[in-house]
Amino acid sequence: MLLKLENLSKSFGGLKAVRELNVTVEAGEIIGLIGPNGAGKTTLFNLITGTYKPDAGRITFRDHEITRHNPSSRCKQGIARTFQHVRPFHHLSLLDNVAVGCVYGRQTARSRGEAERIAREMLQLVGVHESPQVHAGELTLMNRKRVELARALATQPYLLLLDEWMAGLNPSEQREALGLIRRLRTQGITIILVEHLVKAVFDISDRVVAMDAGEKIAEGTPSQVANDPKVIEAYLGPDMGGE
Amino acid sequence: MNIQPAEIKNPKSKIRNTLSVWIALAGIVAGLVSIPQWTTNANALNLLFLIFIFITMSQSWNILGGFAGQISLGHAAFFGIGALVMRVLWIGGMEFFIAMPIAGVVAALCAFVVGIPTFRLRGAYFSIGTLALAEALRLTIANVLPTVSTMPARYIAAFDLAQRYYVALAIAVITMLATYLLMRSRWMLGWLAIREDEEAAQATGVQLLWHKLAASGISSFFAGLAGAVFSFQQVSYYPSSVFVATWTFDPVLIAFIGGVGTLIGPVIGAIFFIAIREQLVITLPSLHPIIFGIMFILIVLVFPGGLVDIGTRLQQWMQKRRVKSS
Repeated sequence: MLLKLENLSKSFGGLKAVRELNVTVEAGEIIGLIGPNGAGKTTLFNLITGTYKPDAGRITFRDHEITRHNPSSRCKQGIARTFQHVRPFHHLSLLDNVAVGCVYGRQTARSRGEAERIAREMLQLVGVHESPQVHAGELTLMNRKRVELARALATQPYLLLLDEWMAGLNPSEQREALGLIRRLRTQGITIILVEHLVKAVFDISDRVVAMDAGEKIAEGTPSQVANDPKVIEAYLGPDMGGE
Repeated sequence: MNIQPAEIKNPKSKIRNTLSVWIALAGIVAGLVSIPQWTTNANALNLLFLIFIFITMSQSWNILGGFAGQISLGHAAFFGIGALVMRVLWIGGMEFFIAMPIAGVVAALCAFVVGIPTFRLRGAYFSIGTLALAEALRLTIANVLPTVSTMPARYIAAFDLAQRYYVALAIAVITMLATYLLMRSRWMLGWLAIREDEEAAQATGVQLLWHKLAASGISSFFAGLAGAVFSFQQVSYYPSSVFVATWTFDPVLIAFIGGVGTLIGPVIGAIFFIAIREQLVITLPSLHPIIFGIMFILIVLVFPGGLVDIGTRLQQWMQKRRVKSS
């Protein structure tokens, strides 16, 4: 087992964003996380990466408890992420963007030269390697997402969290993105992805977790979750769900 | 995506370019070293001395503000501490070259005193903390040491302007070299990442607190050295005068005028700033701060990257023309 979340809860003021959530992630899986707006998906992501500390519960990663660890320590242990609103380092070259991951991630590059060599490989892997000296801020949305992904991959993660990675992409870019995610899986990286495009999640995930109002309402294979009345109700409202 | 002509260059010409840059730099330093040999003009030497101090101060601010993105509004505190420690130790009988690094280290320790509590917080706390430190030190020193500090008579008798010139030059060169090495280090990637986006940097494994402390410590060390050189040169001055805010804001202006977050920006900025200031002080003594303010605004508006930006823009423009004509 790679990641275990036990009775995880997080509130903001009176709002319970995540309540008593239990999820287990096995190594090598692609897990899709779905749920309507405000279901607590991004909060859960932030709990796993350490941006937020839970009010209660326990997070175990590769047999170590990391509940109180900060994000940089979790990254060094092998948890990497992309952001919902893509956040590359805008005024740095693509090479430097990714080299940061090489230097500070789970595997530490011994020199700038080594970091840049690995960074070039990562840029190649995600498909933005033509001009590594361009600033990340000058790129299109799709390419900025690629750079952000390359930066995350450069940290050599065991677990990769993709937050709305396909949002804002056109259909052909979405197909490309799905291909890229499948390729990552062949490298042995475990992936948790949050996505509004439910169809894309069902296409690519081994297992789907559905959330609503901070709680897990369903878990299983994509077809199980897609036909779960609670999930249909959460998305379409109680009237439709009753049918 | 844009075509980057820099990428197409062959490596041999790149090596030749770097070599010629190093030779040119060595030539400039050699030229500066030889100046006291052929002139004893105190005005000229003092002017260059000031430029060296401002290069050091501005680069020091730039390491922390320009690269690591942590804005110090109280660099005068570190400059002043360096000056004070140097003055006390040196007049107390210590060799200047031993007292100077100690002054730098004490300044760096002061940076930790502000940094450790404020860097844990997000936002402007470090900036406010440094500003408060500088003002608190200025007022305290003005109360504790209200009288002017004058060199002992035998120190004045032995005073050698050329020696002060060389020390200031050496400190400026060391600061530049250190910045150059830092820019090529792995730490620099962490600093730049923090400057760009703290949360994303942290998610990529960069430890915020340690990186910020390291940047502020190194930066303040050089600010302390600049202060030490200053108090090594001044025959007499009020101990509190080195803590006044102009010792913060002049270096900041210089960094912005020259080019924030670049190696050469503080050098260009310092030369430009001191040359113009000395002219204005003589010709328009009462108006010069206003003229300076307007000039600063214009430069920042037209060339947000500072004066070094003019060079890169010209280069881009010429490249565009070449691409068009071919």
